[in-house]
Amino acid sequence: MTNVLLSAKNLSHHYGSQVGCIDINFDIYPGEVLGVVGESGSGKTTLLKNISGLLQPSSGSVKFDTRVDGLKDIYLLSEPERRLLMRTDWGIVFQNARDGLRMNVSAGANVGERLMAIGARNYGDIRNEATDWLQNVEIGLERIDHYPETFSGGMLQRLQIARNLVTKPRLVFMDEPTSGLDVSVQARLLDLIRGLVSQLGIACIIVSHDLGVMRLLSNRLIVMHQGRVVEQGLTDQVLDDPQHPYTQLLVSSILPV
Amino acid sequence: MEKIKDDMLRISNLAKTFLLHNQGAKKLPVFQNISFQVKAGECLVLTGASGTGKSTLLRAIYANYLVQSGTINIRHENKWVDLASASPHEVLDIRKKTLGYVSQFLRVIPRISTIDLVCEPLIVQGKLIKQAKAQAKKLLNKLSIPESLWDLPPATFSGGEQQRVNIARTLIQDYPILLLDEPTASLDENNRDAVIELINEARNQGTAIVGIFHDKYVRERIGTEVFNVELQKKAA
Amino acid sequence: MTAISGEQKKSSRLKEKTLDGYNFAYLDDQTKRMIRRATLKAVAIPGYQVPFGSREMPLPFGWGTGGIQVTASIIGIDDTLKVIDQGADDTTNAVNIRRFFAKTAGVETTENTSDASIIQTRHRIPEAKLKSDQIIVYQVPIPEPLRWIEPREEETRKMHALTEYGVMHVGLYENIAHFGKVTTSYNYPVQVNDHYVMSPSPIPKFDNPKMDEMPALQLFGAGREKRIYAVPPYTKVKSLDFEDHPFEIESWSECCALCGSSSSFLDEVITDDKGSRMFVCSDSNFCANRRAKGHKGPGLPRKFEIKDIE
Repeated sequence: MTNVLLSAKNLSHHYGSQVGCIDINFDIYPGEVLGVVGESGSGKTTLLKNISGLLQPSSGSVKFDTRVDGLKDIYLLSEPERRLLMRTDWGIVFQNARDGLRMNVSAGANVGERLMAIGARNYGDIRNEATDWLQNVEIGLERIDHYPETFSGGMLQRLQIARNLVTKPRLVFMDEPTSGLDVSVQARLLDLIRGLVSQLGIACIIVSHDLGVMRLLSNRLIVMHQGRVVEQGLTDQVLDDPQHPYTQLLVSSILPV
Repeated sequence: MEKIKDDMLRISNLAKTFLLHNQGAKKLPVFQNISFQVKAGECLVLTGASGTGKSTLLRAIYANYLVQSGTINIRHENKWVDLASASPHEVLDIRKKTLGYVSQFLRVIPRISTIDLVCEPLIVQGKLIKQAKAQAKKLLNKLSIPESLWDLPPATFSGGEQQRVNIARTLIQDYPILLLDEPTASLDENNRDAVIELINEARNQGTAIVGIFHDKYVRERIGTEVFNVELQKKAA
Repeated sequence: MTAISGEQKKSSRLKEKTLDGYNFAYLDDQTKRMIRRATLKAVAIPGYQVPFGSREMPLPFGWGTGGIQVTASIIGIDDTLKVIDQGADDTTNAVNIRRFFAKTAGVETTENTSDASIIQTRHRIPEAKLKSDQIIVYQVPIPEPLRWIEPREEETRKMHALTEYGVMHVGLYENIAHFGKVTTSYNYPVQVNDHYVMSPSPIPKFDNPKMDEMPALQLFGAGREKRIYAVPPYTKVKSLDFEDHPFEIESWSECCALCGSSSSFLDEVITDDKGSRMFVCSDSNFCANRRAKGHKGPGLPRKFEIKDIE
């Protein structure tokens, strides 16, 4: 077994007296897709923010396998180190693509920015890389110099994915990447994420309330309810033979097509 | 010849009860005290009337269902691993390399073509796309899936076609252990025979098989041992 | 003692030349001290924007209040001041600021670059090479080069502190992607002393190379944005670029119509409503000095030809 990539230990977050998430423990390994499901308000997004360096948890630790020093608590890293990590080894795909994109620069520049941020200074190389990535996410090359403002919701989300994957991160956080898209666009996006993640061997933590998305994308599943993890295990096992009352309710609530 | 006699799968004292929390914590016992072994090159047929828990047992062996007690020992890369207590990562690794499962129904993935669906397990293993595709084409031909369908996603295929794609997707890889849940249920005679031939080929090469076959014709041609789940329940 | 007699001489000159009831150079001494402290800090950290308590001046923000406050806090009775606006000494902004300091500080003013000890400028660096005993004060409208892409001050400060300047190249990338070359022609971002990326104020990029290793002290004042920054003498100032699209300055196929110079920054002047035009030096003092030495240009505009606009 390879080394743990990210490890959350006894993680809790409170907003004043309000509970965000309580006592979360899990490990994620390289190349693995971990799903986090639960209804809105169950603490999924708080957890994602906690482990992606966006929000320091009230207690507990988040450790990441840094390239140089191995497993280190991300909140004990210096700010430059943590920001470097976010630009290089991590990607964050936001639910609302507009939060993760620069809407006032072209699609190509959106993809190229992360390369420039880690020191790429050759226009031709940056342009080629951006071209490749737009192809990977099935955005027509004639759109490379267009502003994201002119893109559809599905294209924006694909552009956001390209922008994140261009530096070949080892871990990508995705917050409801397919919600708000219509079903056919969703299918295309799921297919794309699935392909890229397995091709590049990227580990992924996906937060969603859509169990279908989870069955398709994730290897393992964490079920959250009222801030706590109530069940975790293999995705197909959790969905086909749920043990916890809440998970049973969740699974039986899906409308059949 | 020695190799063929090795045990590949050892089940002992397996018990499964469903607990339905949202229906007044109703308990549904399915089976208990299930024990058997399967050797390389053997095909164990699970029998019993429908509703006796054959499919549940098969799914439990695949670690798709959790069991309440007992062990499911699998010979994985020449080591015995108990699937009932293995970590999710171990289970995934075993499913990737050792344990194949043909379900009753194909789980279609939107937008993925038949050929890509079939060769996916090989590509996950790191095989070259070209080789994987060649192998997938051979298998699809054997199972008489017309070439015109290969580039289409199987969502719109007939039940029989979907079932054959499902079989191809599993049999493309040489799993040492195979679990088959009614692989021939919706097939016509010709296709049924093709599937029987493929399964027997695998068995002759040393694959250990546990399967459910309602069709007596199929049972007689594939099975080498029989395990009656119903009788076991009564005995217990 | 000479010091005292010097002081007496100065104060008599002040009495005779400056407006009654105003402080020397308009600002009160506390304010000037505050600005000098900010300026010293700016010099110590080349390119870093130091916040300061910008004062209300007797002219609106955007007319050079930042530059005026910096000049007011460093100017002494012995200084000679030159003020230029777009290179010219005789435009409204330049004339008025020059007169403002003549009235409130009683200093000598000049149009001659080499005679000045302080040069306050809007939008140009003089063509004549500046010397180590001179100070150039830039009027700056928007001091933050990262502002166009990052609206949060908290974030831009972090980016400066950690030299996270990838986004600056996003702007240049956009230029090349849309127009085939970098079209940013003024306020072209520079990196100072290998650390802070700095806005050079809206000077044409033609002037950027002059900032590099300049013997004179360069001070920048932004009145509305309340920031002072500086480039000490002989400091590396590098214009941002790509390896395969290196930094380039503007060039003209014409020479100055008046003095014939082909090495200075030229302004295009439209001379009638039929499209006739001429190119003249933007630095009026440089042009006048050349003409005084006998240099001559081709003179009046030639007739408009269609190829001129192609």
